[in-house]
Amino acid sequence: MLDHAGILALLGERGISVAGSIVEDTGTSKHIFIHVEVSRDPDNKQVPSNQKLKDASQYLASMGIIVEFLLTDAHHQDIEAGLRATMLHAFGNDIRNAFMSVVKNEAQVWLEPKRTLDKKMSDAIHKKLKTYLKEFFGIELGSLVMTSDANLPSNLAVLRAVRYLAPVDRPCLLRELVNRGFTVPSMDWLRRRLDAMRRKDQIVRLEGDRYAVSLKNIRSLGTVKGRESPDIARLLALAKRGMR
Amino acid sequence: MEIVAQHLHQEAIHRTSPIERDLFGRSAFNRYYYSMFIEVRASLAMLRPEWSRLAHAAIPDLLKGKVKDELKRGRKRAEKMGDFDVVSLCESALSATEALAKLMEQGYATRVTADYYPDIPVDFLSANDFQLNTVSVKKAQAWPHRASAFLKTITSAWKQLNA
Repeated sequence: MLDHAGILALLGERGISVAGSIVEDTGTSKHIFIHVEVSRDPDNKQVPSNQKLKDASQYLASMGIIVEFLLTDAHHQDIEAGLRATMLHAFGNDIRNAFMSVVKNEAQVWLEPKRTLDKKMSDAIHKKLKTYLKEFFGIELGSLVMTSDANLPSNLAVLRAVRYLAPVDRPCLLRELVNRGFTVPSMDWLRRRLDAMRRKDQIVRLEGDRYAVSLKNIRSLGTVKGRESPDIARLLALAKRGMR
Repeated sequence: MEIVAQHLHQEAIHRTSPIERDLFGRSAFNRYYYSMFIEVRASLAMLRPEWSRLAHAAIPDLLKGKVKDELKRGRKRAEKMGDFDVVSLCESALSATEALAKLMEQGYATRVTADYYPDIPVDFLSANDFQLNTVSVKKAQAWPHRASAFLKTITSAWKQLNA
């Protein structure tokens, strides 16, 4: 089997220059960690390419050597540092921190807000980010995620809860959503949400102001086999209710 | 754990003995990694209780495997239901999963270097900055916060799909 010097030579022949020292995992995986500093060619493509790294990794694997390449992209790190500084300078009262990762020339940005941001502020942040990435570095803003503890149930989450308890009235559904760890702002918020879902034929309203999932949506929600099957959960919920 | 890492980080900067600077410096890397690891493992345990006792090296594989698969299935389900908010949430969570796996790999490799490779010295770049095997301590300092941002995105999507 190749020693570290042999691995370095092999990678060098393939145009992959290693930064720092090779480190072997001391745990059960026996992986070898190799730091590689990547750069950009005039077309802004990564050098060495991911394909080149994958080929080298497969070649070494065929010799019984499992490597994990740890890529350091100094250029992206500089962009991220600049992005953080720009955002904290412009929106210091609203943003606590900013992170970025770049995949295929698209940036995914995570912002940690200090408070809930209104639409006007979100739009201003979005615009600033897009300008910073595009104008200075030619990178598109792929997605912007505001990490927050806001925890409203989505339509999908509401449908799952309705399916579980149907036919269900609003107070009971609200309790169920809260039990599942969601924040439901008010009964009125839930009523509006259910009305909107009813207009889209996702749920039906039954006698006594109770709700059930429409047939079309029961099919779309799907099911799984095994312990976590929603059908079994529903059966157990029905049995529990019957026993009361 | 993070305050311990920060204390060790500061000690490494303020000590004058090269041996002590190296020892405190590598320990700071170790604690920054553990601070991130503990948070990641606790969050994964909330997604699935059986993920509460994962070994270090298993976490990136789990993220790139089972967690991503589950999010992809959820995205498909949300697409079918026409819930595009959840589709978008799943897409962000998929990016976060990939980024977190890479972060954990880098953190783990650095922690192994810190603990088992005393022959690789901590390299002091300036009065306030040092690195270990090309990984800057400033980067390590951001690991827990970066992981936390990724975890919030993942758990938020997971909850909408599975709660």
